[in-house]
Amino acid sequence: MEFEKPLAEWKGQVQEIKLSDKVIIGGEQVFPNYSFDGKCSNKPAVAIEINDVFPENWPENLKEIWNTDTLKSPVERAKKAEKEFGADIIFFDMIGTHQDRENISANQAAENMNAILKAVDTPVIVRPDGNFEKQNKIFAKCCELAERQIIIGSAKEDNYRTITASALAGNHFIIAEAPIDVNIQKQLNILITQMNFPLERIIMDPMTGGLGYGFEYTYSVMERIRLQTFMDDPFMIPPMVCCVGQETWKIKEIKIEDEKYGSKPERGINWETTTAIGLILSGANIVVVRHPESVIKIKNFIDSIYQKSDCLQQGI
Amino acid sequence: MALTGLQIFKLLPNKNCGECDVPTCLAFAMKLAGKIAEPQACPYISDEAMEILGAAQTPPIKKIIFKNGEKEISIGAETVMFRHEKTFVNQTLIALEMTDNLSAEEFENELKRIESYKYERVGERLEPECISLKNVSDDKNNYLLKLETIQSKTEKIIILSDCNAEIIKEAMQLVDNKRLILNKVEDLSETLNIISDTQTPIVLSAKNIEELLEKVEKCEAQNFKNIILSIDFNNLNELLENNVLLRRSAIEKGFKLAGYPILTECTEEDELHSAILGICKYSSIVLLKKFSGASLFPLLTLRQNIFTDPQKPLQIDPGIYQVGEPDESSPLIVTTNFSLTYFIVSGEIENSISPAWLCIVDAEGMSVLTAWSANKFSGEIVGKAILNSGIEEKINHKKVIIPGYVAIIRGELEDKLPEWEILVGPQEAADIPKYLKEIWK
Repeated sequence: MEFEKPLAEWKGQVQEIKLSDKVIIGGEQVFPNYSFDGKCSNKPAVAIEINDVFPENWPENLKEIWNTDTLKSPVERAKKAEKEFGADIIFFDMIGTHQDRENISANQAAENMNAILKAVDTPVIVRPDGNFEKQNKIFAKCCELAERQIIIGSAKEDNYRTITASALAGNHFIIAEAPIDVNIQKQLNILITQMNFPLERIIMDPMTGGLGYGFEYTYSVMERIRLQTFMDDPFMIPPMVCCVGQETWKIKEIKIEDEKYGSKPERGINWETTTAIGLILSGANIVVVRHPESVIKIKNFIDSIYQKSDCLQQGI
Repeated sequence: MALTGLQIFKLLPNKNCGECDVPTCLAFAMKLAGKIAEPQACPYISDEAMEILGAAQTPPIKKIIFKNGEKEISIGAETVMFRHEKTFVNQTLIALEMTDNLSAEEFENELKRIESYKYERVGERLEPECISLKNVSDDKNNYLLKLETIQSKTEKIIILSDCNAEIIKEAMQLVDNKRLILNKVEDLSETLNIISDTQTPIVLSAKNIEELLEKVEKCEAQNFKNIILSIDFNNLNELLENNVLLRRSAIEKGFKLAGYPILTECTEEDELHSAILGICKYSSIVLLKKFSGASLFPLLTLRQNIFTDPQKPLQIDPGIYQVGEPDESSPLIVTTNFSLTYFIVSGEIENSISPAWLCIVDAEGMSVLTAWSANKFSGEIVGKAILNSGIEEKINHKKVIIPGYVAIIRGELEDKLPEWEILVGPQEAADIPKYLKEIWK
């Protein structure tokens, strides 16, 4: 029997961004990976999260796989993430800069960042923590002193000026973060570009709800954002990043001691993998995870779903 | 195809009699369009209008109803491509495969393991609801014995897999037809003869969409309604393409042959991956060959999330919740029953490493500020919730922490709880750990 494929006709396209010679994200003109509808361009990238301080809140099984000594050194972590665990991108989450934690200074933060930039070849996302005043100092220092191009986050609706000005001056990429909200996301993109920051250097963070903890809000907001992209809304074209690991390894379900639900490490990996794949299906261009096994599983998925298309492999 | 309110209005008698409990025909038409009223509610509606509306109201994807113990479970009846457009109606059923070549004892143990797999989460019980019994032994008596075991020890829906007409005939005597699905039948035309009266749901499988639609057409010609679709795939891209194209054909093009629920047989090597894809992208049943407790848990949670009605956010049951292991001197924090609010607040309390009591107030599933402005989170309501919660017997202090955004209800709450000290907490949940560290010593 003849079957006429009902194909969608979209107009817009996600901005393609070259983060390094090897890592290019975005560029798709269709939902991932609707290769029957049109062009997909680049596969999603998998980033691994590292920190500037020891992550004492991580579950033991996650600490073990990384090795406790490695976890104490941000540089060793970055190298391991790249060389052993196959990260396309390093996500340097500087939780130690928070004024209520180690309160690492802006100068020190920039130094820590440069050590990472030197240690790895991957693109690096840099994100400080703390109140706006503290964050703004770090944005300025990191953007000024970075020894190569970085992706800096996060610009928010009520704190985007300093980071935008700093990233503009240093020729860096910016992460624009909105609280699971299509309208605020668009508004923020517009505000940033009104400061003459090029839209082509923005990556959106729609904020991730963990699986079982608001995942469905993020999932649908991302689908709505991409529908706007493909209906040719010029302000909704940036690629998207989702921080999956941080929303996975703290939840109750992966800490339950009950063999019925599988071993804790395996359950945690599957939880992180399931969340990441769900978000890739709704449009994520970068997923940030913590466990090396998750990286493998997510990449296997990406390879299988992007089989029949002309899109490019990350890291080749 | 769905009609608009105005198109429906033209079909109505325009009497504005109000007998349908809606004051005007236009308002009634709008309700029909929103599918929150039934055309039968109008006593004067013409037969012709009824027919048109009936057809328009039938969902583009066939609904199939099963019996699961006392409850009914349905698949199909979907109306949209994206969940935010309305909602995904009937959640993907999760099926686990069992083979009939296990010894009686092994079989019962495996069944027990499956049966005991349950998890209670935000007021819903998460569990796989189908067992697929695969005929490997090719021994009728043995197969029926195993079937009898499933039938008597569980209430799950049973998929008969790889069976010939003879086994199917006897199996149907053994098991309630409302609990059965036939998959991979050996002889399709013979099987169709057996089920022509019972209309037992049957899975039609094929190598591609064209071949599948031919089979559907044949079955429809013989008046079979309860059809389930299944297409083989070599990689996940093929699975995605087939599922999306079938769903689009049915929903956007009104192509009836494609308007049936889909069953996805997950491949063993990337079972988790194909199941995730099936749940997110339009499979009504995903069949897992391997029972992995560590995979099933996130899959059940993913399914719960994807099939939550976006217009009716998940609500937490009001009451007192323990975060960590609080004792009588632990802090008491109050917030609304919006699931997201609950998750974020309880998550941050966990991060603080300081155990606490969390009092969840029934605010109709709204977040703190929205609930307050809708008058669902007033001092009166919060006070009453605390007094009725029984928390006073669990703690040795009379202090309660309210969200910073509703500092304004403090006075009213003090009136309601005269012996209590009302503390105003931070506005953002992220600041709870710091707040508890500084204020609660």
